[in-house]
Amino acid sequence: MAPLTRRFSESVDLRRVQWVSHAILIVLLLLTIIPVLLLLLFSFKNNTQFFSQRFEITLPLYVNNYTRAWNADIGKYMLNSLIYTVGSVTLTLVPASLSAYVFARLRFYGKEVLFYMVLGLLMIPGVLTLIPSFILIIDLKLLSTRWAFWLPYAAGGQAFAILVLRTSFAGLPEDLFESARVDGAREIRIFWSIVLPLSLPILGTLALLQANVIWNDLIWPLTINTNPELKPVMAGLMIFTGIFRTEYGPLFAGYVLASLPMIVLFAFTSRLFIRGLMSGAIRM
Amino acid sequence: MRSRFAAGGERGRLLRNSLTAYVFLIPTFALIVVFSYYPAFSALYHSFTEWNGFAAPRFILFENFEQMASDRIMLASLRNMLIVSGWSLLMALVPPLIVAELIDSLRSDRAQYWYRLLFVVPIVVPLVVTLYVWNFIYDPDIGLVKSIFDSFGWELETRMLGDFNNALYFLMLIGFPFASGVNVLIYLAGLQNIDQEVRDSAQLDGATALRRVIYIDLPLLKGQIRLLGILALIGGIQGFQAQYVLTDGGPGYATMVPGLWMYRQGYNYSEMGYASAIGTVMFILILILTIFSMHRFRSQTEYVAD
Repeated sequence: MAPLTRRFSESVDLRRVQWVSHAILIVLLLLTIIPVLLLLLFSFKNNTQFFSQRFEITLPLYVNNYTRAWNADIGKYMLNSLIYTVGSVTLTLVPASLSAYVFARLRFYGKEVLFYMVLGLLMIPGVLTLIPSFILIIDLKLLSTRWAFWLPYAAGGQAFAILVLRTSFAGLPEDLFESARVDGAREIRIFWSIVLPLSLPILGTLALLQANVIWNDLIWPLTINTNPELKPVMAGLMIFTGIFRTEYGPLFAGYVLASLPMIVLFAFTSRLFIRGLMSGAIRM
Repeated sequence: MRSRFAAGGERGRLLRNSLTAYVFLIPTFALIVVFSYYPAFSALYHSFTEWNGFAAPRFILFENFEQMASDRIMLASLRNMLIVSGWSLLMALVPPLIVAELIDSLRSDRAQYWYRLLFVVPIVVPLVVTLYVWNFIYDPDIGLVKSIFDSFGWELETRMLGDFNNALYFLMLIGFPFASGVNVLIYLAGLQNIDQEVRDSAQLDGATALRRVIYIDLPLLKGQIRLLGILALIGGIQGFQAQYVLTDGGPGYATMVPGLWMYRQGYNYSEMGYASAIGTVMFILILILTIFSMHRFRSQTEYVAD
């Protein structure tokens, strides 16, 4: 085959492969997104519509499901969720990045043991510790306080964050550290002025991942909080699920509202988020 | 490594490093000792007791574990757990890899960016919502599956989540096509860190895309596969949210898993000792599997620094 025709047929081939890739990806995306579309659809229905024509667009659209959800104090609950999320993420990442730094960059006595103590946390089933944790919260007199959210979430986030940050910090070029140490910089300064600035994408990514988990958590808030003023949003929405009758329209409208802050956060930080995820630090 | 021989000698340096390291580690260990290790050991201890959660526990040695061996629901739930965690391992590893390879095969950076974003955004949907929506899809009377069958004039033979023989499998299909989430991006990161020349030359040697994936990509993605695999196994072994929200382990105990059985024992029957023992068994299973897979897929993430 002459080189020219060969190149020609190759490019036709490549273009066909491109289209096949696009087609498969789009089908997968559509299938993935169906539950989200259904959520939106349900959020505009009243119960009659919901039980008679669940999967069709029904008129009128009950836009006031959203007002009802909002009037059920969703705003206050979202503020609570925000306070828990920001606090817990901070309390997770500050200790975790300090620890990850010494695990990645220093040689010291007991390093292996201490590291496995952190890694081992990944293996403890969450349900195993639920009840003892609840009793601990009572004993520490933290029941129905904000600390009952912040501290356990921060502890729970340590293992994964340290694991990822350690890989990330270990990938930084050794020269940076050598020259700083020759200049007599102390570890805390190296950490603060070299490691942290270079690791913002992965820190941002971890923050977002953990924020998402905390924002959507339900079991822990229901376990350790009895004060309605302190409810986070996912627990607050339970108000629409009655024993005899669940009001699906306002419930789903509430879920849509409750998901908005995370969607907005993702939209504004997507570049950073993807850069962190793509940095290659998330492996073992 | 020249600084190893700097003033003070290696021992002095090691000592000084150790002090710095311990100071840096204090916040983490304060948190995990109080809020992770203490509850875990408390659970381990109570698995040898009869305990209602608040009154003084009574020490009964291995009775809880003996009871478990003859607890038919527990044994059924272990079988279900094996099926579910095998499946969640497969679904956490394979579909995201296919999506990542497809995205990676695109030449347009713009298209790549948008697919990455769109495939990761669905993670903001709360799990409870996903479960609710799937419950409506499965509703045997007016659900989406039923409507689709009706519109083709087909008879739907199964009541899906209400079907003793098949409920578990319908539960496992929740989340189909399992293609979204961070796993896609983690794979993609791995793929794009592979030396492109290696992959291109494989292609030029006439290797098909499938052979390239198997012989070049997969070995070089070992670190990602291992982490995602371990997390999927841990999740699969402990997970019970779907059962909790949708089936309560039923019909009968067709979809019961140890996590839910433990939760029921603890919260509904106040058998905290027995619940702790179930948790302990799950912990041991996870430990064995993790150690096995760490060993089996040992990777190269070791580095030296002082």
